[in-house]
Amino acid sequence: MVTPTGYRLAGYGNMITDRPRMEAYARALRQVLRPGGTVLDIGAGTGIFALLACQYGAGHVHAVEPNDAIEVARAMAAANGCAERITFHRTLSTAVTLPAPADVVISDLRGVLPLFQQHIPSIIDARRRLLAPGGVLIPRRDTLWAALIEDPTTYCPFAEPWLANDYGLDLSAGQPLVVNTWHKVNAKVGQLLVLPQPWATLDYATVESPNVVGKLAWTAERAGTAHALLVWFDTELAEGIGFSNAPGGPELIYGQAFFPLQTPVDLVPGDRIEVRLRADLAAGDYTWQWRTRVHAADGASRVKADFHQSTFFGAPLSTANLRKREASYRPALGEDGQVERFMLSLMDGQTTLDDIARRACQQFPGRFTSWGDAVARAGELSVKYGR
Amino acid sequence: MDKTISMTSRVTAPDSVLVRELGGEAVLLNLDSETYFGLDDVGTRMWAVLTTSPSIAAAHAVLLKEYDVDPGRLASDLLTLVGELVDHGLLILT
Repeated sequence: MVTPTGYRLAGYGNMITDRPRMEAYARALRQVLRPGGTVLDIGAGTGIFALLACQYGAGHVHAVEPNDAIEVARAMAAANGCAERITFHRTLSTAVTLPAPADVVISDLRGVLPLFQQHIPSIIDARRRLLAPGGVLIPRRDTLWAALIEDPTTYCPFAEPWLANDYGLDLSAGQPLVVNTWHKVNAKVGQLLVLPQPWATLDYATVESPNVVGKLAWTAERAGTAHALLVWFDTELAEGIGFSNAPGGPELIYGQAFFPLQTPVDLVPGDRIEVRLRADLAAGDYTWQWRTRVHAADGASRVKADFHQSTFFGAPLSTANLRKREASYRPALGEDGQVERFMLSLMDGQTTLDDIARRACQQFPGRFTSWGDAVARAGELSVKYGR
Repeated sequence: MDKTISMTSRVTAPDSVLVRELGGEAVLLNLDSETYFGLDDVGTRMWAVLTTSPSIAAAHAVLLKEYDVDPGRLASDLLTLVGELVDHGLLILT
């Protein structure tokens, strides 16, 4: 499992002040929680759901968070008189065992979309191991939607800097990469060229795979230039409670995902657009593919656009570095690796960081600018790998 | 169902395989197994011809015009490469 990217405290603050989101989560929790019930809060952050669960009558709460924010959550639990009712687990939920399964599992491990890092594997694992029979998952279900969008302003960085510049330079090598990346946006409903279509539904009570593939098809009803495929989600947190990230609704922290087309496509009424959108969780994060085909309205045989794009094509990588990921590759440690291996080998519960740093300086003379530099490196390793 | 690889076999890349060419070489990502596989420049050209030809024999004919190589050796190399790629789930026999 990949450790999630650390949020800053201000980021957690933004989640708390996102009222449509927070109010829906709070209502859902209050609706499903029985007095004295046990709640598991996965990705607890600063513990807002755990605190609310206590306020709403939970008997006990397990708050799971690998990020340093959990230390703030502890202080907040004490400040709110909940310290005795919350057990904090500073780790990933997949590493947690509970004394008894939880009646409610609440989480928001999404990014812009629910297909984000280890979200779905974490929920599947929690549902199987940590949720009591008949227990409740919040959220229950996310539905992903897609539409084509006309948005030259957002598209600009995907084309202009690479295809034209004021300096007479050929920067075109960047364009094939950047059009294979996606970005968060907050789109307006008037920018949509076609009616939104559901792409996938993630029912967390039954989902078994983190991967999603699905086809979308539209017939253009008005003229316009398609710049991207826009994807967002609606959620049902509990019976009758949820929120939507659709363009035109309240602007939530999630926004929408803007998948640029390889080149903008001018559409006229009657053009048929087919998109095959696929997301695969690989090596800890999602690889996206969007294959777009546009058939001209004036003849079924004329294809106006035929693009195969993927985030795999978007990263500025070297062949040498990609080769280092091959299963058949036989890696050898560079000096950094040798230094870290040496330091880790001395972390035996007996040797101090001071000793480790001094011995590393002797073993690798010239590698560190000072003893302080070496002890800082050893300290980082201690935090990351120590117990 | 296992199929035997022969010169009349046709091969295609499954949807779960992505190919990225960099400087004449290629790296293949198998999304199902989450593994990478590298091809040198010749392997990359073989991949491109194999996945767009109606059979391995047809790919052999195309490549024979491009490389100064013994026909038997080329056939052997193609079958070996296809076998390896099929074993890694990077090609399927159709």
